[in-house]
Amino acid sequence: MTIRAGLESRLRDARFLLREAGHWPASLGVLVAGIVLLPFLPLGVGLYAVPRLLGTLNRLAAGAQGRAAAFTSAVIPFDRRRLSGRHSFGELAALVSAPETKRDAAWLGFHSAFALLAGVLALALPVGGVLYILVAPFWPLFPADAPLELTLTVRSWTDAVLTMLLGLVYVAAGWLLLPWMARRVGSATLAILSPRRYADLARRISELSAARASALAAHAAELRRIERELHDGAQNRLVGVVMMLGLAQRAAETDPAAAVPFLGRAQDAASEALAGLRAAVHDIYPPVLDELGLGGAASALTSRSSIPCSLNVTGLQRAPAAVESAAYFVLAEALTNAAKHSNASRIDVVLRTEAAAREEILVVQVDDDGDGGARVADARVGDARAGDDLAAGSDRGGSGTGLAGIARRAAAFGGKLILTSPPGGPTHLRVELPCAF
Amino acid sequence: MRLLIAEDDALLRAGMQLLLQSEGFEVAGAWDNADDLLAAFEPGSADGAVLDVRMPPTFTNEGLKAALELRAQVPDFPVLVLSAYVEDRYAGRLLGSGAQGVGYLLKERVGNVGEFVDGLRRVLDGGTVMDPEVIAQLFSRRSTEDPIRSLTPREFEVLGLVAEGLGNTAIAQAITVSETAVSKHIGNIFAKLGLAPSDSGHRRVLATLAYLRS
Repeated sequence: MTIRAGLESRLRDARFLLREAGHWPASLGVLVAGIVLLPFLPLGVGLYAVPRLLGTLNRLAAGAQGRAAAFTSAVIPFDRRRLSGRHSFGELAALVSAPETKRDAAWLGFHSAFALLAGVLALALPVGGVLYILVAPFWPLFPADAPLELTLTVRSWTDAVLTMLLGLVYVAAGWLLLPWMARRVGSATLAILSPRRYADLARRISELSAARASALAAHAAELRRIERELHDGAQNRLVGVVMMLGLAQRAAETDPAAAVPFLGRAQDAASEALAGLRAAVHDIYPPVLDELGLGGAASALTSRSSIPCSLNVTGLQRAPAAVESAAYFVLAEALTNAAKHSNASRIDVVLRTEAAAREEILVVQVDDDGDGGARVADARVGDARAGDDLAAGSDRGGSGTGLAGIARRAAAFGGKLILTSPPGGPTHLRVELPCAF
Repeated sequence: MRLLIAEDDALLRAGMQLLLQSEGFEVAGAWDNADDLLAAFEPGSADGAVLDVRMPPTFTNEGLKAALELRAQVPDFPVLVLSAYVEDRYAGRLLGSGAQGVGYLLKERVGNVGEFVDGLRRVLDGGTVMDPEVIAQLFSRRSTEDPIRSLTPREFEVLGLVAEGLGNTAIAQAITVSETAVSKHIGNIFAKLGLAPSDSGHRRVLATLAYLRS
């Protein structure tokens, strides 16, 4: 996360906390009024005061719930009870002992106790810290009998530096504390005010929304990847074909023999275009996955490997087709890479489904005992195929481009590539793909 | 004629160099990305540039941006932009940088070396060359009430050739009619579209495109 994004999110946190602090006097007022009125409730004054008090409490709690939901982007899967109109004594008794009222009262306690504190911290830590840092250097301007007081009494440059360091500590504390406080206040507000089963439901909904968003993002990233592969791969090769044919035609007009080398290049480019198309189509969904499942398809891959290769698929469960397809691609790329660059004598492949914190993940692990030193290059897959006798000076793509392809594929599914490959080996490659689709 | 090339695909870059040289152009430099071309560019060092739209680092419209940048540095610097697919907004942005010496063609047009080189020459001479696909895309977006729909198929064909930057003689040759017939067609087209006739080739394209984009 960049500093700028971090700052923006902390400003949002601070705004939320300050707004809560701004509502604190109202909370305290209702709390005090409630405590004062409590002994009088059985008397006539209760009939008049209780509905007003509960109505105010209800409004405050509803407001806090709305703010917290907006801040945490949570969904409130139920309608809040809203109080209005006059009530009989029997209704009032029911109202006072209703679970909603208890939740509102619990929230009132929470809010009265913490909202002001959180708001003050949200303001004082960053502002105070910055102030300390800015003001401390000016201590000589203060008269000796009324020195600058900033936690420390600043009488020397040592004091000033200490004060500035303290300011830094405040700023750092604010930077670290703000998101935590805002999150805690937001989620506690929602948790206290939501009936238990709804709280679970709300959490599940936000998890599902996040999973759906990442699924859509993965899908879009896949489409972009395919589009790019077709445009920059096969289509460019075909442009090369027509270009070479055009040159051949031009050459043939003057000297038929001069056209022959161009025809050869056109043929090469056409073959590359075919290979590129085949690879692109295969990447979209390898047909073998449908027939054999991921385990079977993986075993077909490992048995084709030029380096002896073991395969372990115990604990592998079915995953969505797109995820299996990505895992298959990752494995194929990793094996090709190892065969090309590692000089390994054996490769161990493990495919399994693991339970992570929020969802299941499909893990592809490829370990070899080769030379190591593999790294993810910042290049494109297409470049590896760009080689040609005409392409003087173009890099032909080392191990890095294959790994970059793996990293991109994993990232498209919200997964990650973990690579340890010290020079001299061995190389451990682990790709985690979330299955929450 | 000294030309600059920016094309990230190594085979195409080398092929383009070969093609231009064999057609008598001088290639003053070829780069695999737009930034390096811009860094190396000095006004007066070249007479024109051929740019691929999609290049590193983002593979979106680097070539187009570079073309606009070149034309910002040297007004009406001839640029021919090549693209894997037609996007008429790109054509619009190019024309927005001035009408003289711009071209926008599909990459595969290089296959017809003769036509490609003719187009390039027209761009270098300060003309305008738009890919027929751009014109087709613009046409297909027009609603049925448009006067463009009142054109006869022949006039439509002629307008397409006009938009490609061909002069009357070339159009007459292309569809094998007399030159007088062509100017009659063009007169009809401008009349139907409500445009004042004009002699200059690129102005006709401009008028057409300006009308089509409105």
